Amino acid sequence: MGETIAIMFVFFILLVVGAVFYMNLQRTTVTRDIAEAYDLRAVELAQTISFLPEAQCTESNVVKASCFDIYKLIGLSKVAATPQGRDLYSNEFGNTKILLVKVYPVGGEWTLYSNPKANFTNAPVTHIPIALYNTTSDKYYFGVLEVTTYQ
Amino acid sequence: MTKRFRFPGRRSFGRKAQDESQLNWIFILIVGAVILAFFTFIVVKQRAASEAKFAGKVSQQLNTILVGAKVSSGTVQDIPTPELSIRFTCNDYYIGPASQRLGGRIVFAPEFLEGDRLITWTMDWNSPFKVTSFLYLTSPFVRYSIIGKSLDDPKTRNLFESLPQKLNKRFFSIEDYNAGTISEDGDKYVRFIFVDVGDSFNFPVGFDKVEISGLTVNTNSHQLQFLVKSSSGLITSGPKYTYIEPEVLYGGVFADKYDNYECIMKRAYSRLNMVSRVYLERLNEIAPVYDATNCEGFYRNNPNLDLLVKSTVNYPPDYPGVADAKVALEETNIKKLQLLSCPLIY
Repeated sequence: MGETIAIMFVFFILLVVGAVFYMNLQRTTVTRDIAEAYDLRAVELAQTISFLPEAQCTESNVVKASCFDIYKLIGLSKVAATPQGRDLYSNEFGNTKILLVKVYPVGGEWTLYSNPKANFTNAPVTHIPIALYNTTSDKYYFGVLEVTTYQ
Repeated sequence: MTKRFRFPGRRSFGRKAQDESQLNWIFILIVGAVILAFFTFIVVKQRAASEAKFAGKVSQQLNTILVGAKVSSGTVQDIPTPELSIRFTCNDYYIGPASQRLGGRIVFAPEFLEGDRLITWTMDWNSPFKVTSFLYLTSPFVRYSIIGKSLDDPKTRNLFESLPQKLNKRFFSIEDYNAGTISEDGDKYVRFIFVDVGDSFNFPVGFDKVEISGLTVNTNSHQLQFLVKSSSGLITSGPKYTYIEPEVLYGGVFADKYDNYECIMKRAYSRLNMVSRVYLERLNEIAPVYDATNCEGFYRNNPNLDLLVKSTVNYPPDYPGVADAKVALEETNIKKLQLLSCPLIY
């Protein structure tokens, strides 16, 4: 009886050690999966923003790829700041910040949307190069779209 | 009796050993049961966890596919998937215990999609400028039976031919339907789309074991209404909805619940309102540059964009207002601004 109990005791000790090891392994995998999901979400969001009809350049309703209209951006930043705009875009973009910076020639930036998370743990930024079009001067500039995803 | 007197200790020793052996067996049984229960618990938990993990992975991958499909307008994709069952609501979709938010995406799909393949179709919604992309989702196991006044009816044929070739679709006349010559062909789910042939219909013959639903379309009044299965046949469900563009009509073809359709269209019109506001702001910004030029008068407080914004504040929108604003904006963009070499509205 004593021997059996001793064997069982060792067996359960080994089982607990094994379970702890396995759980740690699982925790690492889950943490990695969550990080991957956030990265994926950031890329998806960047892709969605690049194709926003209310920002894209169009000519007779034909979309110009990787191009944002500067005057649309001005309009969008105004509309997105209204209560209705905040409602609509928070459903679409969640806890993110979308900033457009004109890099060549230098000068000008537009915060298209900003809804940071209160206690975020990480905030990776995705950069997307984009052409900026000025309708009135008919000129193109170079800009970068910065999408910050709060985690 | 004598033995008892001669060796009293032997009997008590044997009894003790016997008791111990019995106790040992009971102990082994209890411990064995505990170990067995422990491992059964682990197996059950692991199975549930791996199912949840699989569902989560698939829903995440599906999300990536949907985002990709949304931005590739005008395309039809036939996507192989693991055997799965997806439930779509207005705001989310569910695969087993995993769910994903649809966010601002406009996705028209039957409430339940089952099978190992998905068909996605993406169309731009222009009103008159691009507002968003509509994503239609279905599976080859859903059959779309388009039923018109006759096989020569141009409006029904037009609707039938505008739907993607990859769709499991058939074209019948109302006579075929009433005569019961339409067969189920082994499909799990059949959706009947009646074009200009009335509002209520008999139960289709031979479809007792198949899930069915329907839609009735009036191309003259530009209205559609959902049909549900009842004991007497297919009866109307929910209000009549007006459509201006064919993309909105296709939404009714793919979504099979009127409340889902209504919720999605509400989101679409709210988006139209927001995009119109952006265009209105844009025109007000560029207006001062064109003061005292032949482009003056087209941009500042553009009345047609203003009408579009006002017509789409609430749902249902003011459909005549939307239609009028659309026509006027198209005319200004193409016939006036282009001719005068002024910057276009859209």
